[in-house]
Amino acid sequence: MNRRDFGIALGSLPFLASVVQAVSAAEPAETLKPKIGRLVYPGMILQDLVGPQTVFSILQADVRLVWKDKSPVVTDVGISLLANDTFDTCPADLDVLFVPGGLGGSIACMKDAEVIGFLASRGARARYVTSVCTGSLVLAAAGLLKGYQARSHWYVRELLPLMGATLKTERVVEDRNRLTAGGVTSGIDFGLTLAARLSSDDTAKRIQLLIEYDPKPPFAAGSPQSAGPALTEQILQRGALLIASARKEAEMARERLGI
Amino acid sequence: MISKRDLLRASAAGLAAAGLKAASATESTQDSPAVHDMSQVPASWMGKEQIAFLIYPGFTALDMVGAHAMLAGLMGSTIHIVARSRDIVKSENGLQFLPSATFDECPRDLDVICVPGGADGTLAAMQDDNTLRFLKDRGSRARFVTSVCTGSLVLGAAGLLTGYKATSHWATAPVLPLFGAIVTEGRVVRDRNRITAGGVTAGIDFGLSLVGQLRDRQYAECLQLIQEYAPQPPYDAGEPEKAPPEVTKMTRDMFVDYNKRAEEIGRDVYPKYRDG
Repeated sequence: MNRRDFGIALGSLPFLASVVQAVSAAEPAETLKPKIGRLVYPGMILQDLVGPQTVFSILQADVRLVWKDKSPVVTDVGISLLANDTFDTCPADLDVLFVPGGLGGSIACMKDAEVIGFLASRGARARYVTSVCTGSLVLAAAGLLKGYQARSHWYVRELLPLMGATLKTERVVEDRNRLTAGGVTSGIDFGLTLAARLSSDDTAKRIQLLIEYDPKPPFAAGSPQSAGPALTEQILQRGALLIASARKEAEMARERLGI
Repeated sequence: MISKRDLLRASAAGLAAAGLKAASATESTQDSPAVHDMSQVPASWMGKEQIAFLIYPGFTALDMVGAHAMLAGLMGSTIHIVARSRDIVKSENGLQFLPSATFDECPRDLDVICVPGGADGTLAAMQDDNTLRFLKDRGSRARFVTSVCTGSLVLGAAGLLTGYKATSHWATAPVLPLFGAIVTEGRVVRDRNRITAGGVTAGIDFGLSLVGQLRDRQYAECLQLIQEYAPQPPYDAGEPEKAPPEVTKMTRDMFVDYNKRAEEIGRDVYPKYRDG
């Protein structure tokens, strides 16, 4: 595919930064490799995907990026992803089903019957049903968090109970086979937690050391508690329209799910 | 009227909604007021930095994406993903990237040049004359010359760390003195305009601290809160002295051959680029 093709595929994005796609789906399946199906969608946050991807690739997992079709999916930072599986070709039995966040895109997925149908079918059979950031809103809209403890990005997490989940505030919430994590950067904490479940504590520690994950944020404003009410309120206000739209979709999902 | 582009922007995780996020790295000067309400944004929060990430086959995607996610939050900035050619570049974890500029197309004067690390691909980049000449040229004028993980070995090979304090992935830091660099403790090491970060995930700390540097503390804190960067690793094993000894040993052993090859390459290449 040449640059012109990408330009056409992406329509109005004049300075397309880059295109990302997953490893070739043509590689022979190996039964020992955990099979990980990762939903990708327009407006998703690239970091939500790449944090855990780093862990999964060290685990040598069989990772599939899945979307309706294989046209470029533009992420939050303008870098595009290409799915290597469609909803039809994604294996029926996954070890892990994963949904990244990105609020606008998550809202669009919540009201998309095709996306919801795909997640409900794979989620019913997957060994682990997981998300980072606002991906949990999409899982919940598919009925996959009903009766489970769960978590989402701090600014929309109150919407989860509307769809039958019990809200918890740990960075990574684990309830039976559901693992849901907080906003964006929590994907690395999530990835390591899941690596321990798929392999062992020692494997997870080895990966942590390899990716030198000994974080030292230069500022202490990563949660509403540490950032304080003024900054938190500022972000809530600027995001008010999107958050209201997410609430509306959560209420629609509640009706649909009969909660 | 809301265009498709506006919708794409609005969907940017509420980053756009929070008014802090330039949706595509390269088009923030055209930001729609429907998404970015600039009336609330102090003038000091807008910039026009030219930022370039070098990518090459086998680079570690998270080295780049972690820092990129933070720097992409700089309103008004432009980010270039630069490689030898416009061909798709496959990263170490299998994700593939399409460069937005070749070495020739990359702006000559950059505010930030950043080199991510990797495994074998990094050793190849250290031996690539085009790559080293590109770095040496842009690095000679850039406001900040930076790296994540073993990216510092490439900077070193290009002669850009001579006489500077620097770091690298913990297991490869011992190679740095070969390039005239002074190995220094720290997750993010700054010496004048050189900023080098430790392994992989250190790129996030580097990116966030650079945002604080290029704007101000409150701007960076806003970005940190939106990305919910309050890390809680499930284990305390992210540094060699903290991990179980057998885990550290196994990981250190994995790098013995890598470091040996990096040193061989360095001895061969560095003298050619050290002085011009």
